[in-house]
Amino acid sequence: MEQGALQASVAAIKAAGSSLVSVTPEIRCEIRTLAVGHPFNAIFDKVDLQQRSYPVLVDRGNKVARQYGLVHGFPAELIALYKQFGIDLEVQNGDNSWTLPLPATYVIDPDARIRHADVRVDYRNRVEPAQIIAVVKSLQSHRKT
Amino acid sequence: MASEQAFFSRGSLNAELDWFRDLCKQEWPPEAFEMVNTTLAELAHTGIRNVALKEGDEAPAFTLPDQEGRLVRSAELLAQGPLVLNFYRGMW
Repeated sequence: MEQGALQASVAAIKAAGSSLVSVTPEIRCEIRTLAVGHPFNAIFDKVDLQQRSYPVLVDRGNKVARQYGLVHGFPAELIALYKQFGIDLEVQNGDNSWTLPLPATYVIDPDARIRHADVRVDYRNRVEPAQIIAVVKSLQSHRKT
Repeated sequence: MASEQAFFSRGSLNAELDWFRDLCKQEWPPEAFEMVNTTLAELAHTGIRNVALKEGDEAPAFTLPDQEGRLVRSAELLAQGPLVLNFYRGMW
């Protein structure tokens, strides 16, 4: 869902003179381990991966996410639950670490300074793209003056 | 911004996500939903929020492959202007 919302926001982000990339530990985004007819597919199918017009970068083993301090593990019972739901991170991510990044969105200025950080410990909510658009617009107006 | 608002029938990304969480609560076995809640509470308790980089920190440079295997360098993107860097768990 978040990726679809970002896709819908790419034009506004670019118009403000910024670029957008997403980073994921998933090595092959086209793999679907969810069963056909699984109710979650209705949600995930909203984003056509082929139609994303911003780079989706593969962070194998969460190496970059770790540098940003975002990586966490899973308790064994939750690993079992995910597998029961048909989600196998060993397949999706190509490693057996069962680690994921916290969902996070950073706005980084050209001097590599973080100007805005949105980190979600509860992955079930994400940054509103409108907030990010407001930040990049504000950076743009600062550059102009 | 209009297109981004129109993307979700419930008005915003988080309204949509809240709806989805409520759907999970209905559809899942109660113990599964509770297990996720417990895990998230424990994760918050580890202090990971303070470990994560925050406003004012220097952003580590990176070079990562895109979906076609082409290397993308953060330095090259930043040379063109500010960068919105989104980390997500996966499309599963």
